[in-house]
Amino acid sequence: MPDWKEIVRERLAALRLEPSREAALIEELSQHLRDTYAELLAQGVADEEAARETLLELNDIRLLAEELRNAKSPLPSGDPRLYGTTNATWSSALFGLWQDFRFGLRGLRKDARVASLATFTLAIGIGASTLIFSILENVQLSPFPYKDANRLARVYEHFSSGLINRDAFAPEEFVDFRQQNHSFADLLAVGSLEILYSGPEGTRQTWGAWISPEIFAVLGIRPLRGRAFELSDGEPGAPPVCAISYRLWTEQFGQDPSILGRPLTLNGERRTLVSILPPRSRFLDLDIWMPIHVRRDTAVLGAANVRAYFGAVGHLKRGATLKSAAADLEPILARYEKDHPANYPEQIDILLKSFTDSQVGDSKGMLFSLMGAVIVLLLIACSNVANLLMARATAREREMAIRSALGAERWRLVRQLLVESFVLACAGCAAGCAFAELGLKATLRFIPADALPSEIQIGLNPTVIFFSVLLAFITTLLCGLAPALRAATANLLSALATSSKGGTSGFAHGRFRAGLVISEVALSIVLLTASGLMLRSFFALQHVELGFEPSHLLWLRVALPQGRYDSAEQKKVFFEAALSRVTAIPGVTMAAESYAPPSCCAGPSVLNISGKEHAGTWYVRYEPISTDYFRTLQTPLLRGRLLTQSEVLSAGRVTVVNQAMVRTYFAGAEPIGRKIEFGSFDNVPDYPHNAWFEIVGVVADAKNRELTAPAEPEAYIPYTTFGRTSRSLLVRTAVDPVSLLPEIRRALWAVEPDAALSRAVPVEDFLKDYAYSEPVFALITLSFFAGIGLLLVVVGVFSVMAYSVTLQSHEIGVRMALGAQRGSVLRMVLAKGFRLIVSGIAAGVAISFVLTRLAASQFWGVSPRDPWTFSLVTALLLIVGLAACWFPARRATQVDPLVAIRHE
Amino acid sequence: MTDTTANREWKKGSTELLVLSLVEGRPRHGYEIAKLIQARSQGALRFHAASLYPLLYRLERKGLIEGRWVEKAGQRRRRCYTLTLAGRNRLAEQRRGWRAFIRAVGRVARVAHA
Repeated sequence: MPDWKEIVRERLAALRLEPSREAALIEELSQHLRDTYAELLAQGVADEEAARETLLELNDIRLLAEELRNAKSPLPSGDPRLYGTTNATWSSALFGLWQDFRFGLRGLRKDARVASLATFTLAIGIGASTLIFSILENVQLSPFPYKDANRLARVYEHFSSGLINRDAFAPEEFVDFRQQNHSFADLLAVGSLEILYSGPEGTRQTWGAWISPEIFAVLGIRPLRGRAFELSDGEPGAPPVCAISYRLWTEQFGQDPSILGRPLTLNGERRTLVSILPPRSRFLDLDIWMPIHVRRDTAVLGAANVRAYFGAVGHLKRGATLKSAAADLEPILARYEKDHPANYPEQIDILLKSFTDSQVGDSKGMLFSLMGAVIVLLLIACSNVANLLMARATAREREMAIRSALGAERWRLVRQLLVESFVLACAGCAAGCAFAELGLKATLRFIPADALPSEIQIGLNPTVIFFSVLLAFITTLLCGLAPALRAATANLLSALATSSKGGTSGFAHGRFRAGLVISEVALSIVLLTASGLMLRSFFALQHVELGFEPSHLLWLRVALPQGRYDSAEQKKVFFEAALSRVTAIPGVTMAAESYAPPSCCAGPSVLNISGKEHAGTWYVRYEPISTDYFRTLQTPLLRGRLLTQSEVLSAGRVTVVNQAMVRTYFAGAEPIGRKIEFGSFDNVPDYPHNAWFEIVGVVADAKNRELTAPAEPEAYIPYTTFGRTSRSLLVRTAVDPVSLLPEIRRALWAVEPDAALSRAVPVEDFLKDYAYSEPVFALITLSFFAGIGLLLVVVGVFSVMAYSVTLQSHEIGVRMALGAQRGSVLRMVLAKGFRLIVSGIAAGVAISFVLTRLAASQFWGVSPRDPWTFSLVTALLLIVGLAACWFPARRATQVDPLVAIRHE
Repeated sequence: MTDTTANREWKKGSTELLVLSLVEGRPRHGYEIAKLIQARSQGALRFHAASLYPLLYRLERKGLIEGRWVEKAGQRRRRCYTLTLAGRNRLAEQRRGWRAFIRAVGRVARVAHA
């Protein structure tokens, strides 16, 4: 039977119809011819005569040509597949796109294996990018739900020594900042303080603040229940009111709505609760707000003798920058420096931080580095998918060549193929978002609960989804453009001249695919190197010499009822009794008083050393401790002696210093017997003024800032030296420290029934949360992405090598027919793979050299050009890459020469 | 009047009416339409594919008929044409015109009523 479709196609060729329209016409007309022919045969007409008569049906296609030319616009209710969109209006162009979309979907359904592999690969790339972007967006780019949050800034006074950033100011200074600046649209005062809430359920220690009553309007907060503060609420003599956070409402009051309007006892004062804040409004992690208008004479707040200091947070005016606003406040500070030199002992500058930077901490570098890593992963995924689509394009080269020869415009074919890639990218995007959602759940477990401000909610919000869809568009172009251009510009002659098996311009395709493999290997090297360096720095961090033993050590922050334990003597009474009771608990081997948990937070002071004149200001960190502090921490004594019990109890003017202090300020000379003075004590009412402490011992350095930073000079003094500030206990145990918590709590209550443990955490967990959590998070996510990247590279190398073996099977067959040994064929294929992989490795190492230096801040304790990491990663890729080549190479040696030659 | 003459002269003005009336009752595909015209005219009228399809596409473009691909189990899909509302109006109008025309011709030429 004649091929009626082919015949119709030939007749229509001259009309240069739009491909989809042409296809429909061919189908309809060829059916007509087939029916006519079949009927003639059924009537007994001979084959040839029937064919000749059937062909008469198409004798004159002028009418058809004319009608098709007349069809300038699509039919009102016709099938667009028949008429195409060459001259179409917008709506029909959209409809055409929709048709392409459905056509692409159908085509991909037929090729389900390629489609699902490509979708899965893209889902990994898009999912990983979406995951990290969602963290970046929610933690760094727009973490706070407040009005114009990106213009909120916080004021600091930055000491040139770098030890302190003062973030709270005396009332008169705050008032001057607020009244005399030209850069802030508003400036809120936040005087945070510890608040003890006493209710029928007992006493609870929490954080709250004196706060400007206009905070609701300034931050755009609408109370969940109750009313916003009114300006009059902050006036002196106004009825005392307060607002509480959603968290406190939930945890303390079980979301009881009737609590509103009732008085709460806060630090012994009754305040009416007028407002419950919405869940994401725990500003500065404060649980209780109390309204106040800060005036120059605002002096005493809450507990007796505590002077008020206020933080300053506000919106910058449009046009003002952090820098210009700082310069604006500078003259006000300069005046204070001149008038109160004691309060400003050194060069101090105004420092403005964006509210996000001030609250979220410095995870920006890490998150941007991870973002870079996932983009690399996405590029690897795109290379793999481009590779798959290239193979598909090759198989369809003949189809495209014919369509193009029959008059289909090239851009139209490109569009069709791009729409196919877009269908894949959309599926990848949807699956990627699902991956990201699951991944977020897993990832967030590595972020400690209170490491981030409580306003932050990490999830797939509209911005993140938009980003993901944007990625889908970008990946469409990245994966689809090259194969589409390749297929659409295929040469008709060469496409038709070769056998119908496809695989025409194999050489050119081969080069493109080889390029893809090289870039995949290179990108994978980048990822693996970064995660290798991260692993090394984490290892270094874990083996850092802490200067104390963190295991079996418990740190407890003790909250004492205000007003009753403010003096040094009162504190001594409590802690002397508490320490003896806690030490008596079976399982406790030793206990000590301290201010801060080890490795963190000891306060800085200006330092003077008797008999030493110096230019500039010296600093030292000071820690109030009890006798057994060093024995509890297991920090070794190097010279002299430790503080004795009687010295501690009598607030003796003695001190033990660390090695860093001796190195820095004594240049190796004997420090024992020398006297030092803490200059900053002179500014604090309750602290000893002009007091000189004699150095009696030197202990080994223990980390006192960050684990990655060397220990700073530190001096340890009797905790009875002053009464201010809250205190903690350090308890060394022989058993699991957490198991002893109930007994420890009972021991403290036995001394003071109103005492509360505001935090109790094993020091190992504390380190895990604050020192290791960020590197662990970065390490785990990066290694995970690097592993997936490596897997994708294996798939990429394998598929390209397998494809290249298929293309070369004829050549291999001829070689083997001419006597080539299997071994030499194996070597030939492996050598080809080896060349690709080595080129990729070379490029990857070069790129990594540059990139790891840029990300040097993310690594610690290891050079960004660590030869071990680079060699291991190179070896790993070489082995894995060659393994991926091995199977195609083995297949090449099994080519049957006869079959290969006959196949051609 | 020979068959050939009838084919040429009559077909010219009547093609629309023929096709519209054939798809009035139910959807039909092109081959079926061609066969029905040939059969019902007892071979007097005959359309080749090269002239039938341009006509169908023109009627479709004018919105008088609507073509749809119809798939039936075990058969190739076929493009079937149905009469649209506009087509139905046009068909009624053409039928009225033709009746009037034939009556007029009959009165003048004394040809028996068709």
